[in-house]
Amino acid sequence: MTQGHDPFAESLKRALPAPSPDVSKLADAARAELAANPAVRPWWRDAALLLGVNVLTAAGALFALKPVESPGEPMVRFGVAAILFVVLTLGALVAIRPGARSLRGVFLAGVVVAVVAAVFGGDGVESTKPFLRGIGCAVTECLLSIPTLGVALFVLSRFAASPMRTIAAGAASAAAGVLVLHLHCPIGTVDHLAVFHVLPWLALVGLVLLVRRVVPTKSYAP
Amino acid sequence: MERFCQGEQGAFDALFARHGAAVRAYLWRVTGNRAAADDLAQATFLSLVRSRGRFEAGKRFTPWLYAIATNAARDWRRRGKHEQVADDGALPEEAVEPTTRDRGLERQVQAAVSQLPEAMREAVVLHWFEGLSFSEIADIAGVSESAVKVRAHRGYEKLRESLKGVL
Repeated sequence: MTQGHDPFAESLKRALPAPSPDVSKLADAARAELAANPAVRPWWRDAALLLGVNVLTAAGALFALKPVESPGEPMVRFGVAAILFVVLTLGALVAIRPGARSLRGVFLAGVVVAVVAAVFGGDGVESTKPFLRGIGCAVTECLLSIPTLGVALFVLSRFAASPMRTIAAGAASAAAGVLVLHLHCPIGTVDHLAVFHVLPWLALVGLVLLVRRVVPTKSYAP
Repeated sequence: MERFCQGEQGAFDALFARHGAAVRAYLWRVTGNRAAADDLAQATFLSLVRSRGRFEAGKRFTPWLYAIATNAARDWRRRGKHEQVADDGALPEEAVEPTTRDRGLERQVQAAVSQLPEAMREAVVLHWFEGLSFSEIADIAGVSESAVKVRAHRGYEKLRESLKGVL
């Protein structure tokens, strides 16, 4: 199937010729923008903004909250924390970097690994009030995600809507709360971790996807 | 593009002179709406200016520009700003440019194009009307070249079917 070898294709092009209006005015807004902002904004500035907010939010909360002693294996505990930290940092870069479609795919596979690690990487310690403590964890995670997800949505509005990019940015930004809970929550059962740490994480990513649909797009560039 | 990325207004004017009318024509063909095509062409070039720092050096410029235009058209359609095709398949009347074009035939072809699924329509318009290669369309759509070929071929066959007796 090549162009120009088919009479139907020729008829099709003739039937729908390109309109020839004066298009010069269509560049006015772009010219005004160029005059107002002659300096180029490199992609890494948005990535740095997202990365900075994610890291500062997680670091601030880690220092502010009371640390807990865990009877679990330190290697496992800090291994899971390291995985979550990688998601939180690398995700911000991968989500924003132009032309990183395949990298985003690899990153999302990494998020699945992080989800499994966050669910099964606990120390098994139970709580006497599992539901109330659990609600506390979920609320803390959501509160910590307000600044990170707010900035993620702001940055995402500068890009054409893309589910892969939105999921990557959302997963990275919401990982700040999961990391803080992982190091500060005294409960380590699989049920608690799955329902009150990881489920809110995934729900927040879904929320970002929904909210991004209604946020106006400032630039349609990929 | 390099001079444009350095903020040179003249370089932008040169890019617009080269691609402005073509992008506007593409948006008209893909939306079937002249007013929307004007708005989306403006948004496309505004996005180009705002996001020029994201253009990857060494990459082809035309697919990138058409990717921006395609994203703008998709967003317009997703937000429900598009005009509905009437029950008889004809598109609503719009401001007509003074020319000797066959408006009846144009509307029939435009309606047939508008009825194609979005991904198919983009592949058909980009390849058959705008003359982009399958590899360039694959870059724009973010899918493989073979997927684009399938979309373009199926869309083309659908058009041939729906315009049987017309063209």
